[in-house]
Amino acid sequence: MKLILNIGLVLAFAAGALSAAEKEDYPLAQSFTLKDVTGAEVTLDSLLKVGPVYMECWDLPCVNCIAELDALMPVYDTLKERGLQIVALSVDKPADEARVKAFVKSKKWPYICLLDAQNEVKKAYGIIIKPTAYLINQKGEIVYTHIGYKKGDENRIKAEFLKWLPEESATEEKSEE
Amino acid sequence: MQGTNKAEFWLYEQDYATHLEDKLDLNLRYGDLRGGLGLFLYEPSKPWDAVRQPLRLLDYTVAYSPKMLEVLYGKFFQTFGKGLALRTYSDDDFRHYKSLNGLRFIGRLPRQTELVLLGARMRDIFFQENAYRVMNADSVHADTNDQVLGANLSSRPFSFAGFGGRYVRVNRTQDPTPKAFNELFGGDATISVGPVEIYGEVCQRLGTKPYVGGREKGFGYYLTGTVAIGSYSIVGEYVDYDKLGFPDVVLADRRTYRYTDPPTPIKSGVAINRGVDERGFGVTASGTPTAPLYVEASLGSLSAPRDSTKGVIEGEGKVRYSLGTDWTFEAKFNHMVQENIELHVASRATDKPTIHANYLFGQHTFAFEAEYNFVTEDTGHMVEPWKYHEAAISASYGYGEALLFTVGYQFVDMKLDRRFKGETSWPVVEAVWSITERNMLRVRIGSERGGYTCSGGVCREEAPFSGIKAQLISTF
Repeated sequence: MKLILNIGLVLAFAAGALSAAEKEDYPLAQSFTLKDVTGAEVTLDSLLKVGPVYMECWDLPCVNCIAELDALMPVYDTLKERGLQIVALSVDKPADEARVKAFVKSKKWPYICLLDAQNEVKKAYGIIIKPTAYLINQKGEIVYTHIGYKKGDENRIKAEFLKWLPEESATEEKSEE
Repeated sequence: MQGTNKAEFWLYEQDYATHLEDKLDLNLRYGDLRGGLGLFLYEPSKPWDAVRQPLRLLDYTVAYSPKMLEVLYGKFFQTFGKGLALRTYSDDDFRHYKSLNGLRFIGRLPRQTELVLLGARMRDIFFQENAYRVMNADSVHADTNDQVLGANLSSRPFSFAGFGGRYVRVNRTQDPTPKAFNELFGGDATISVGPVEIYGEVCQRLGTKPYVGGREKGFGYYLTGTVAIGSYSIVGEYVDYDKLGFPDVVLADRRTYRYTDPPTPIKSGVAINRGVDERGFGVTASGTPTAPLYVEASLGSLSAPRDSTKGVIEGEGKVRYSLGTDWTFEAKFNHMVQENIELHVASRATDKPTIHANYLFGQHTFAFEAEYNFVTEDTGHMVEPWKYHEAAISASYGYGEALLFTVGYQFVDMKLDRRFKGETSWPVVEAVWSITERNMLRVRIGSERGGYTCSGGVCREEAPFSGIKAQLISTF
């Protein structure tokens, strides 16, 4: 009887999650302050003032996470002038911090690489599978979630970016001013 | 409100046993107030035994966190420094959840200074033998089921230098000896000059010999140095632990729980005895000579100074190349020798080449992976060591953003009753369906070889599996 109740509880949660996911209201992203690989403090609020943020959770053993971040480099190169920011959120152990910094440097990633050694942001966002990535618009809303990665996903992620970036002409006018 | 739910269902082919598992995390925020609710369910089918027992846990977190401070009550994770004195974490991939439950205060001061004070009880949930257990629940075998008190001060007053200091006290519940607790005192320093960064951490343990009394001392040193120039970098790591891990007495039934899991310099996460008697180093060099090419080489060694029969050495080389946007290739070679690391295995040497290729064609994705492991294994009682080969091959096809199918096959060319229960092949098929952008269903049917696996200095023997696994992950 208890097992049936527990199964029912789990299925209810799953159904609630599925139905919640279908609503159009976007959840608000939790703000945070973390250090990047150079030791500088970075806040989500300061990043959102510049443009939308695509935050991907990764760690050194996650091959798919690294593949996604590699694949997004050409996408970032074409869209960074329009305000797109990509945050590579490392959830590696504190002891791996030196390896993470060295790895990021040798990969030549142009992203903002943050260290979440205490896993505070990972816990706040409820990340349990890697890679999980969130696209956060300038209002601080999570407008797109991407779980997992396979080759080609970067094209679909780019299409999502284009929905939330200002038009190219608007950006050029702003830079001329 | 945000949250995630991971629900799993396993059906075992052998006896049609099942287990249901659910992990739900809800997070709420309202201004400076933060709340969290966590549900963890593990429901195995009957009959239950000492290993397979249901686990039902409900956790909560309430925190008040304006800009300069945080006061939290409930479940949290905390590591001091690099983890020599205190390390708690949530490792979903390895199914290991080591948390603290109690009170934590964080004060954020100028010059990147942070003070952490905590008083909590530890709970270590570990997945082993296809079941979850609270590893430190047993007061006879565990030494950490009472309060953990801690204080940590870290500061980076200058861009080129930082330091930290800490104190941790771990009480025991059942020991009439006066001062029946362990104290850990630690400190660290960081210096960054141009492309060079050096970090050093030291930790001293003062414990009490269980039941007989008398002070017990231990220490640990951890040193790491990084040089990064252009797109090349080299990282070196040195560890030296002597009775830092506790308790160092292993009871006859081998169920003694070990409190610490300090860093290991071995890339694959192998450790000897988790800080009791270990010394070793690790070096990793990596670089991107040209944009599509990434190369990496690493070497690590760990030994037990008081027991020369135990040790591990690992070397690995990796090359990854992207041909345009459609092709990606990766080749890797790993060599490892372990002596008296696994139970009943005197030595095990492996040489493992691996190749991986990915191809994108419009909406279609193809991936192929193959590894071949040359193994030499000696139990210590053999005239001739076993020499055998383990192989694994998998092919994946993905269509669009929603579907991914994988077919895999593992085999071994020798019948090993002790290691693989006499099985020699393990076929598996897997389908992943991204139902929506926030919901993913994964179904796997077939067999898994299992084996000895490690993460961050914690190792376990993964039992082979044959049956069906279904996993539903939802974020909201």
